[in-house]
Amino acid sequence: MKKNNFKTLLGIFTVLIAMIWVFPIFWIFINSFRSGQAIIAKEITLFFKPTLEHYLLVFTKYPFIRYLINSTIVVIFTTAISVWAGSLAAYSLARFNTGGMNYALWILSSRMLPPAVLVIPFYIIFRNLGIINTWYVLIIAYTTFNLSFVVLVMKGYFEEVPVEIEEAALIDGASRMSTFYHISVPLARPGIIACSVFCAIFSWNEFLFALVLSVSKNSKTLPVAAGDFVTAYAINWGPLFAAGVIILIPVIIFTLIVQKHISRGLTLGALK
Amino acid sequence: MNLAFFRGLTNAPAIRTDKVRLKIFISVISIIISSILLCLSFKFQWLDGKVIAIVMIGAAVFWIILLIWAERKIKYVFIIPTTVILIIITIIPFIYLLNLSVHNVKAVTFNKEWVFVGLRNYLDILNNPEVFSHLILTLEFVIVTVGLEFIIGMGFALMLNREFKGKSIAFSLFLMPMMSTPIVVGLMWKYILDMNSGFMTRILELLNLPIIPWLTATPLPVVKNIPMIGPWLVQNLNFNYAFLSLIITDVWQWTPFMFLILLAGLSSVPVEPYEAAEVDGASFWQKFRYITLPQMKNIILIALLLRIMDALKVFDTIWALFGSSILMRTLNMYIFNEGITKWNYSVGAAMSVFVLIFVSVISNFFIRPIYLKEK
Repeated sequence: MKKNNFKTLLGIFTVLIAMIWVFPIFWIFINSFRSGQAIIAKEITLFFKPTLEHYLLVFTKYPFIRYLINSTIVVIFTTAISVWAGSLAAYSLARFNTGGMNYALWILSSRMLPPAVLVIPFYIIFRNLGIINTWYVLIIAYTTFNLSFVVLVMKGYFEEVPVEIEEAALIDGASRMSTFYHISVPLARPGIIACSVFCAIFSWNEFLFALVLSVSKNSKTLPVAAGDFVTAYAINWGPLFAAGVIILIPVIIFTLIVQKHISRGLTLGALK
Repeated sequence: MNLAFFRGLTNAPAIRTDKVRLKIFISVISIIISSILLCLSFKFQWLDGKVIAIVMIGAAVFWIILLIWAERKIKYVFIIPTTVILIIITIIPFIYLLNLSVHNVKAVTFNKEWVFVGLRNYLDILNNPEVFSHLILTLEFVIVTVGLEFIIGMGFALMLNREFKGKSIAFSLFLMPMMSTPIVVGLMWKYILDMNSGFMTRILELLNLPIIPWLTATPLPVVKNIPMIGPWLVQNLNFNYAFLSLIITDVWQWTPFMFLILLAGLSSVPVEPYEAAEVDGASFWQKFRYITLPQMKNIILIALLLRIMDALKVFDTIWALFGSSILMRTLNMYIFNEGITKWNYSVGAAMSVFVLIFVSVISNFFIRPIYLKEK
């Protein structure tokens, strides 16, 4: 009985700490429905008349629909390319240990690369190619960190697919490619979905490449657009919060989807 | 894994070491030559959209042909896309970076002849006291944030390593900060710590406490009042409110990450040693020191490695909190400011090479024990 009480108390205590920890996010969410005056008012009020003015402003005065489309397209394409190429390589690494340790290490080191190192060459190369301020450049740039991530994480998932099933398919006369597509990929599907969601979140959150490589309206992504609300003279808190909520909502939904795979994904497959 | 079976099935020849070495040598040479060719083509602008599209389509067709006809060498066909993409997006920029860093190139002189200056950019950076202070700031940031996150995360993990109601809710909540967009997190904390209308300021006003000048270069009074070394610490080691705000933001965002990984590690430690220790009358600290830490050594190393690498990458949070002000300029901010804002490509490139070396040294230190242990 006493032990049960302790467990309940611990549970309440933990949930309380977690709630205090995420309180800033909650506060931003609440504030995005507050009127401009109420945000900078002297007193703190929990109950107020909600208003959608900041969301309306964000979507009418600023081209946020366009930014939303930009972000979505970049995320979809970079995720598709990384997951496709990455799974093939991961399968090869998992089954045949292709390239040995050095190859895996090279992929790992390209994951460890700080994006700031790549910014200058990317900027100059893509400007000379004349594709700066387009979707393509962001898709290519985001692939740098997504591709190596997919290879490292998917390797672990493919290692878990039992070899015997593939051997059976091979003996039945299937080619390697069809074994891969009809046996291994369906069996590793949870991993592939988790990887795609992770890639989507990483690309959605990316800021530095977007800031340098695409600043025109045609290809600006949401994080850069949110950063634009901060100017040297004043900060427009209301629309900033609305933009923040728009950016955070898909991330939070996606995070809840991949919850089960999170410790595995974030440690690059080092932790099962 | 039954490799022999596969080799028999695909009739692949047994691997001979000298042949493999020759192959690696040839491929490395060809990568370097093609990279140099590509760099030249950027310089003289041979490439344009059409050429790239044709090359890409050709490569795709070639790959599909390989896929059908090279069944026996399928393992190489499978890694071709990744290898090619990774060469294009990491090796070529790196060679380009090296090329930039030994010339004196700025935006104005970019289309003229590049002046070769050898290692002068590197020497300039090494002699620049400002860069040294940026390096100190970066190291300090990494050590302080990762240290704090590790301690707090470990504390949480030890506390919550048991079953109770509401665990999954608490976990879902804890996940949110670390997956949130860093730029939004930075802006959020900029609002909370804002001196005029911020949430923290409001709370302090409510409690009739003095307002704390977050996000400014005001030195921390506690440190400043230390006799003798206080001012020196403030001057050289950034003991000011701006740095404190940055640390708070980063710790808020990334402690859950440490917590999750350490908790996953803790729950995989077997129970038996603890029971034995209990029988022997070990204290909590002894159990932690002699059972938990050795069992979790690998996972702790992984968590630290990943966090240190991420802390070395940090850009968004600093940009959101301080813009490009000189106040909090880490090495990444310096690269951005020199190379992109000031169009001083060569200096930025030299700095990038330094950062790259710096990062690879640190990561090698960790990677060896974690990923390189032969299975």
